[in-house]
Amino acid sequence: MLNPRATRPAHRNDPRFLSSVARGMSMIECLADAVGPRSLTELAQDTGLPIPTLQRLTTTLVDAGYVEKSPKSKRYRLTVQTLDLLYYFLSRDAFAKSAWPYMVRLRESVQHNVSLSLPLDQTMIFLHRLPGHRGSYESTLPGRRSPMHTVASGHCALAAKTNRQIEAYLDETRKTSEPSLDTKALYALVQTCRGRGYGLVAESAPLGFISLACPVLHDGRFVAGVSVHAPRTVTTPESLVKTALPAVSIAATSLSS
Amino acid sequence: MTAKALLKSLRCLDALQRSDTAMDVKEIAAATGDAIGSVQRAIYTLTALGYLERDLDSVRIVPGPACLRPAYGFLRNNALLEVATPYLVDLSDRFDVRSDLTVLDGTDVIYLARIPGRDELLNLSFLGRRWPAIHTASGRAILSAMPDHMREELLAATAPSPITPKSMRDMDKIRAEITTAQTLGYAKMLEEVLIGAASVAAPVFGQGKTVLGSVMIGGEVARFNSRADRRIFGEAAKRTAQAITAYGI
Repeated sequence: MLNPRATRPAHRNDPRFLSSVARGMSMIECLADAVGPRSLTELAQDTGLPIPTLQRLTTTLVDAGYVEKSPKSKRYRLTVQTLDLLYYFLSRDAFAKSAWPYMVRLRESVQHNVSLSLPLDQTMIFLHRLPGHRGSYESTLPGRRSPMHTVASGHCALAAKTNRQIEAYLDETRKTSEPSLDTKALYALVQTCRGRGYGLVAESAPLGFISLACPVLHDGRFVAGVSVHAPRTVTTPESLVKTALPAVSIAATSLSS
Repeated sequence: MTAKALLKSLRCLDALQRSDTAMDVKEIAAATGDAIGSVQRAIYTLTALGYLERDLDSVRIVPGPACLRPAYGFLRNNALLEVATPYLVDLSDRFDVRSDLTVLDGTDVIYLARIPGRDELLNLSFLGRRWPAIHTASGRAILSAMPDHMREELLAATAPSPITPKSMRDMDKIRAEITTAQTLGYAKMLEEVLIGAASVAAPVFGQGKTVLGSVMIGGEVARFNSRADRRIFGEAAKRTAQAITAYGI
């Protein structure tokens, strides 16, 4: 979960940066991370903010229509209005629009879940997700965020950085959120990704997914990752590379400029 | 008590969403009625958080990828969507059509899910897209399943706002479509939202027979022109809606 207290150092002393806005938006993100509605006490635990501050923020977010409070349980949850923000992005972003047909074609060609994700700070966020024929409910939802080192498209994003930046990212992640992170192994994986031009991440869970991603570059700059995700139960990393890599690579190259 | 700076920032976001074109700071201030200085700080902060970005000309404000995030939380916690998605994937697959799930918000329908057909290369209606309920098959399906007084209230609050030359402009005709939908169990729309596109939709019910939303099948108008074809799609939408209803959400 993102820690709303962790206002990025760059902004801490910046007079233009409105901390109440950052806290309000991070509360929306806390609710987005939560499973089911959250009470004020739970939100206080999630965010580390005092209850009076949270009350002020929730009142504002309810007034603005993004959050609703159940009259019975007094718990808060996001409203359908959050979709307006999603639509705002999807309908205005030229890249999001132009990428769609390529993703549809890719899904038809590989017959698995496919996705397009964008870098956002130290994470990758799903822009488009199309379920394959074994698609689950969650596999259709855009907007999920994952730390870069955990997803194949994120490996492509890291591979586009300088070695010093990769090391800094991995050290920071180990310090702030994952003390047990094997930074050496990940560093090597990112180097492999850079060398062969695609990222490959196999979740360790028996029912997990294997993901393969290729980078979309604009003027040599990493802007997005095109991925295919297949359940471990139906394929192996080697076989996914063999069957899906050409199509993923073509889609990513077509979206590059 | 409210957080004023937050409220002003959300107003900026709102103004940007409502505008058809990307705006600069001055235009946003004019739209919200707030001082330029406070709008500048709101935009600066929302940009730092990834909700907004500067356009290539660095003057106009465009949405940033963080806008994708809140909807994920809403959709992931939506029981109706969770139950409906596998059925929608199946529908889309079986008939090679687009299958969507919509809900009513105010006088609009809004897409919660859309599963494209095999050849749908043009993304005409993104997730979160709103349309006036009265002009869509899904809106008419939802209206057909509402208690009379609620439907009348909603119809009284809406005026036809034609989207294409084929959009119905006559409220009596729209009412007739809704009545037909009550009889058939599904509603239709032919080229009223987009020339060349048509759809049929059936209502999904929750506990206590309240209407929750609708299952919609859409595609090229040629596939929906004959009554017999519409019936095949309509019955399929109906069966899917009934299957989802059976979960008692």
